[in-house]
Amino acid sequence: MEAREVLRSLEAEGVLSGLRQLRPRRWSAAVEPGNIRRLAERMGSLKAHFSALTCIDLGDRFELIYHFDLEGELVNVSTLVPKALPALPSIADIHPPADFYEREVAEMFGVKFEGAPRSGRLLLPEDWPPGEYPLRRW
Amino acid sequence: MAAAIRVPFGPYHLALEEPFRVDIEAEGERVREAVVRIGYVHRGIEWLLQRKRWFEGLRIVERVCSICTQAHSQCFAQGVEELAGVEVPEKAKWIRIVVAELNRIESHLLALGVLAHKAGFSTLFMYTWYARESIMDALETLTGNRVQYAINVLGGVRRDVDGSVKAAVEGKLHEALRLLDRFRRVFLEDRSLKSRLAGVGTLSREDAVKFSVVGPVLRASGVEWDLRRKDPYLAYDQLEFNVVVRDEGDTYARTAVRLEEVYESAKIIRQALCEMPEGPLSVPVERVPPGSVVSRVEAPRGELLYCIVSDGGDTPSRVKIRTPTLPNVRVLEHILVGCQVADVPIIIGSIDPCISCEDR
Repeated sequence: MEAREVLRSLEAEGVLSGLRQLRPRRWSAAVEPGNIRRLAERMGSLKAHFSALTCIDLGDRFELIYHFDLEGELVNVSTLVPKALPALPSIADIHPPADFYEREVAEMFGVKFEGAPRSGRLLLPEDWPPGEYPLRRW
Repeated sequence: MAAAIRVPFGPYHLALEEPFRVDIEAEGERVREAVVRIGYVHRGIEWLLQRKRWFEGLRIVERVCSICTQAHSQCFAQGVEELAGVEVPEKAKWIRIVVAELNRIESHLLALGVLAHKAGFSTLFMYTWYARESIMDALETLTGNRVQYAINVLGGVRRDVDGSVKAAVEGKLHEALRLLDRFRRVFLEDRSLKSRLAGVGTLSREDAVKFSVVGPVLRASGVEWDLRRKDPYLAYDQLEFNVVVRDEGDTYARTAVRLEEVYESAKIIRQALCEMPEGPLSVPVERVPPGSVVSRVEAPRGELLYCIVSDGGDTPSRVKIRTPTLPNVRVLEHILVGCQVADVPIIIGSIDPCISCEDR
């Protein structure tokens, strides 16, 4: 199935919203935090490549972007979480590399990933003070 | 049943070029569990980039890693150029391709040499790096630098390639390939080396996809996925080359993929030198408007991804770097399980980990 059809069907199911093609091979969409696991499962069953997880500090919220690749078509799915309660479901059991990506976001921004198989330091030293998140801007 | 022993492998170890740690739980000679710990060379480059102007950022990303420096520079520059709505002149694109592919050859020869060294074949290691020296000379002729090429500027390249430089690069490339031809057979057919590599650290096609590994590691597991083909940038869609794929998924296949990719890169360089159009070298990038862009290139180790966000100011407001080694090192926890303790260095070597890249 073509990436375009896959994404349209995900939008029709209500998993994705605001699907847009930015330029050839670049798509952007939004997802509700509650639908992330459904999205990850669908992407997993399509054998999509999970490229990366980006976190951006927007002040009172965090924007998390899940980058999935469907045969060269890159889909950037973003979701927003409030900074006061930054928590998201983990997808590390579906996409194993997410384990590293989520831990990086967790220690750099302080976003909690619920149900993550592992936590603990990834890049920062073990004695880094708890509650200090180096990439938070505001 | 013997009790399991925990063996810390690293962060400083004879078989590692850069510091990272794998904690191995060994039962006799078998690895039962492996846990990777990274971050020993974390320098906070993403943090630093938020505080430096766009053109300064280009010099910093080159220093994320010296072995794939051109890939980082290309990925950042093409992202910023896309944000600024600037089209790079044709000649600059072709020069960038030549440098990127020479960089790929240099990186692959380094990895092959290191692998030979880890397999205990030091002569082969020396010969491979001897061939690599010619490529370094070619890069020096082309860019003025042996390691941090700094050929890219935002909007193009800073140095022209004329007839005499083309001839010198061609000559050096020929010299390197002539040397490589002499020991290509050793890598692929030598009985003792093959017995050390074949069937070791096997990663199946399904697991390679599931673990989202990238680059030669993915292609050695039978998946034809190369961003130069799947998501072409620069002028790669106008070039003829093969994507090298093997099905075995073991250490031997990963070595063979890198070896064959050297020849494919040489093919690209020769086409690019031959078909390089004439014209200006760069266009100015004056302002980077607010917006965000995701830029990807095929680095020597696989997919390199930059997510660049601008708020219209002098500096980026966020740069996310996802380097190819991060997923590749994650998969070690999977492929090391069940192997012999003595094979651990060679399996780590076969994924060609670039720890500076991965820790940023």
